[in-house]
Amino acid sequence: MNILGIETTSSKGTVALYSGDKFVAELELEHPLRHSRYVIAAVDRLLVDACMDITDISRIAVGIGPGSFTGIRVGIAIAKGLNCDFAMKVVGIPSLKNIAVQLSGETNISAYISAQRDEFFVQKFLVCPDTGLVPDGDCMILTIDMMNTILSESTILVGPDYASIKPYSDKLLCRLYDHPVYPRGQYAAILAYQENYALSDDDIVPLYVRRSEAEKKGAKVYKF
Amino acid sequence: MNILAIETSCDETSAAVCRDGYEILSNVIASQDDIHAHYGGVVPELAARRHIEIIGQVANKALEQASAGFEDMDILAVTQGPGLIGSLIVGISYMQGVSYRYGIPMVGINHIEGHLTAPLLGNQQVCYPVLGLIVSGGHTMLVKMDDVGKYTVIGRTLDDAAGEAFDKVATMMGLGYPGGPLVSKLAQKGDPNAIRFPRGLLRSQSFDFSFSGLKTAVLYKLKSESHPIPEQRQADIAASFEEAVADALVKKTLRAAKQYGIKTITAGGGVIRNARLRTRLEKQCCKHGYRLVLPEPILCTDNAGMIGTLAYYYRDRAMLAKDNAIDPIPSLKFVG
Repeated sequence: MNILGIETTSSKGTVALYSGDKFVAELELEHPLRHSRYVIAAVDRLLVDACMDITDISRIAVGIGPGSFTGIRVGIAIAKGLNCDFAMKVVGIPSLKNIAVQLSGETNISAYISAQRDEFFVQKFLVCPDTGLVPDGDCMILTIDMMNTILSESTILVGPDYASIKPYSDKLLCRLYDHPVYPRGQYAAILAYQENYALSDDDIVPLYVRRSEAEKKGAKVYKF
Repeated sequence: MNILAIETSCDETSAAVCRDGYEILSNVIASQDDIHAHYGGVVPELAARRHIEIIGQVANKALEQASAGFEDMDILAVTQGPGLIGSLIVGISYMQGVSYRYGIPMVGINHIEGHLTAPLLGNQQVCYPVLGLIVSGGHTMLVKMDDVGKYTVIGRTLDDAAGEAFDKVATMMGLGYPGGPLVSKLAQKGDPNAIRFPRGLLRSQSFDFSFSGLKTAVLYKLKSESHPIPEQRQADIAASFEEAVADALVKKTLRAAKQYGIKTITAGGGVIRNARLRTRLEKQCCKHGYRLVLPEPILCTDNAGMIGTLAYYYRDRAMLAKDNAIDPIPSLKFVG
């Protein structure tokens, strides 16, 4: 089973190739803010270098967020296009799980991604001997102060926006991993392989944790 | 030549299968009106969210209706702009995936040009030059067309688009969304001459339009009325507003045709479905000896059929997504 991983939910987009549980290669997209332009070219390079064709891929693992709304939709739309005839299976991989799985030797992990306006998407994970990495609750939108009420001192906080959260490191009660960790195509692919589940194409939709501004504000009504 | 086209520039998710630049084999349009109705206008983020949910289904439905498969397509066409960035990028990204999966070259198409040429392509009786009037929720412009791809914009709105004015007036009157059909329905019971609303820039020698003053005039009129406004009075206000929009559009169009010596006039965009505007255009063109070519209603709204037929004329520009990705351009210029 060859798996193509596509991760475009953060500023550092990557695509990766797995053959079964064997890592083949990963490529970082050329430009941080224009994923739509570079994903297909990178996928082509991956496959050509591996002497493969897109028809050799049986599963696509794609990041579904949370993260950049546009980036999420670019990845999912391309995955849907590649699987336009439903010949493959597309697996949606949550970005925060993708981040958390990259940390080894920890048992309490909280993954974060900036949600702008001094808020962060945060999800807690536990690493259990039997089940491995499992979510400990849903994704939340938290400020730094809120994090201190929810994340214990034994928790390590990890995510891509280290520069955004570093100024608050003195305020944080939990430990802060001191390097940015991005969701990556290779971890999307391996998660899709390990979990061995696949959804129908229609079910692959972005993971929106936050409502749109319009939904929050509501409709404009004229009163005379 | 078979062409699969996708149009996601605003709030319609549309896919079509077209043949040889004139035949539309299928044209599936998934409207989002029910999603945006609550807000009185299109909410860009919600539009993009809906596109990503259904784009695969819509494309497959278009192929199914045309009794074709992806493997039967020679070219892929996708709206490149103008439009909402979050909406455009869904259609473009999806088509890039399809292009790579099947090795089909793709071409980006200008949405406005699609509206402009929709009623003309394949019409053997059309002789250029043609004067094109585009009236939609996002655009209002007059274009001199010397051939496919040879255009000169001779007038455009300086503020609101006509369709935008319809939506805003509908919101002011509490009618709902989309505003055009609702205002029009109410206007049918009203007197178009009951209130003399301003016709923006009608006396100006330019062919530009303005609708913000008209919109404000309606707002002040509504404020000046005693509330609740009787139903007949509401209908009069709606009819008078509609008349003011139609008056400005029709008079400027005919004046431009006369000045440029153009004998054939066409029109496109969602507002062209408005019965009052269509009737006014038909009567005035007939009266002054102009030939009027109007699109069928399905080609007035945003649809992929117009993108697919136009793409035939730009087939030489089509390239594989792996070699040349198409960027969405929200403010894609109309080539002058």
